[in-house]
Amino acid sequence: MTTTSTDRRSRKGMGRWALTVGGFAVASVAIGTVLLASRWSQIPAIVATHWGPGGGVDATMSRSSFVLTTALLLLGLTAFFGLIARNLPSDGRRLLAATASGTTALIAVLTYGTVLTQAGLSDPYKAVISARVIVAAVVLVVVTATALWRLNPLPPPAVRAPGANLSTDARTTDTALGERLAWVGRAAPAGWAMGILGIIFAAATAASWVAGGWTAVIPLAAGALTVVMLSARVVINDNGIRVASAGIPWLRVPLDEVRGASGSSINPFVDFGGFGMRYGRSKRGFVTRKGEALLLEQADGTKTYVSINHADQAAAVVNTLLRRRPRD
Amino acid sequence: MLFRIDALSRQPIFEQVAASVRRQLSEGELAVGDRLPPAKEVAGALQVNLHTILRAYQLLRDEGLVDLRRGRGAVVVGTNPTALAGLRDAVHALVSAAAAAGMPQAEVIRLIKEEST
Repeated sequence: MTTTSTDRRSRKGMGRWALTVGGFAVASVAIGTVLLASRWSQIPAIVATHWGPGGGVDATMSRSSFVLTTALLLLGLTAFFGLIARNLPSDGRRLLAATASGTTALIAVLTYGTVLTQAGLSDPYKAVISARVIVAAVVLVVVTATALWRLNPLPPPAVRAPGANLSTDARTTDTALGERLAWVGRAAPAGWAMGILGIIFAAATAASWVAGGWTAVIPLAAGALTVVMLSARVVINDNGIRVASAGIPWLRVPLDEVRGASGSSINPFVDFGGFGMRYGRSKRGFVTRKGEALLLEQADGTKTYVSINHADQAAAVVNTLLRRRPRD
Repeated sequence: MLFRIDALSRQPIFEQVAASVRRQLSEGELAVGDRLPPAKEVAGALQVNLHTILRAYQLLRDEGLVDLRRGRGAVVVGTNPTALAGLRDAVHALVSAAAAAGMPQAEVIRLIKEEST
């Protein structure tokens, strides 16, 4: 019984997701197809669909199979994202609404756009990717992702039911009445792992500096961003649990949305497929390394993990703060 | 790391913050080489003034428990609360006891002098 109600609650917002993200994909296909149809006589019978690394056309397709393949690709991809979205925590689903629609916009503009610009060409092998199409794609991706993010607000959070207090065996910490508790820790990779990351990014920066000059900015920025993201502060107090690095908030869980906490252990690749802020089936995690993690069981059924040292101590603090504010 | 303060306690807050660190040193939750969280983070988490935390860290430095370096923050250099820390607790207890007995400060100081001769 409990699982059913939990599942239903955690899928709140999925209808809106399907309507907005699915609707955007259908509209993209419709607009692309109508634009092509309006210039059908000028479009070559065989169109260029793929360009090699040197800029030369290396794949072509008949124009009617292009229309069909593109429609199937865009709609199929959206359906696939929809299946993933069903099981994500609500904030992950919101993020996927933006990224899925952004991907649809990118593919739609690049495919329909490059074929539309081939209107009037006699030899598809002479087709080039116009810079205008690329600029249009980038602009539309940003606009679409922002719009779909706004169109999929977070549902009201599920809070602990009145009377749903901690199980008596949950680990807590001894405190005096009226004592203020705060736990401060770090979610970061082990020092040696951070060192290796630093060396890799420094080497990449040096290599591209020697090879090309200004492109060295890319590995430098990527390295700085990775290091900043992977060294986050974890604060637990009366306001709940907060994970942030350099002013960027990654996770915030108010105490009222937590049912209980415990010390756990995670394997980044097996459990989350990588590092950073990750989402999975009814779970999410701020993952920085293998091993100890704080596990928060949330009222909506989501399991939230945070990589930290002394996870047992942190869990005891969460449980103590929870026990102090019974909801009944 | 866990910080605990009790607003109702007679002990100043900076001493309570220092006591939280000492307690975790003695419980083995903190070891030599560990870094204490930045004072700003702790101040935000406990909702107290930044200077209160800095004062606590300075107290721990004076006791030889942490090393304060610009840019590196507070690093644990000793794990056993020093005699100085023990002394502070004893003085605190003494002052409380004197207050409870209604004994004036001058009288307490006279008693200490008498004891040490």
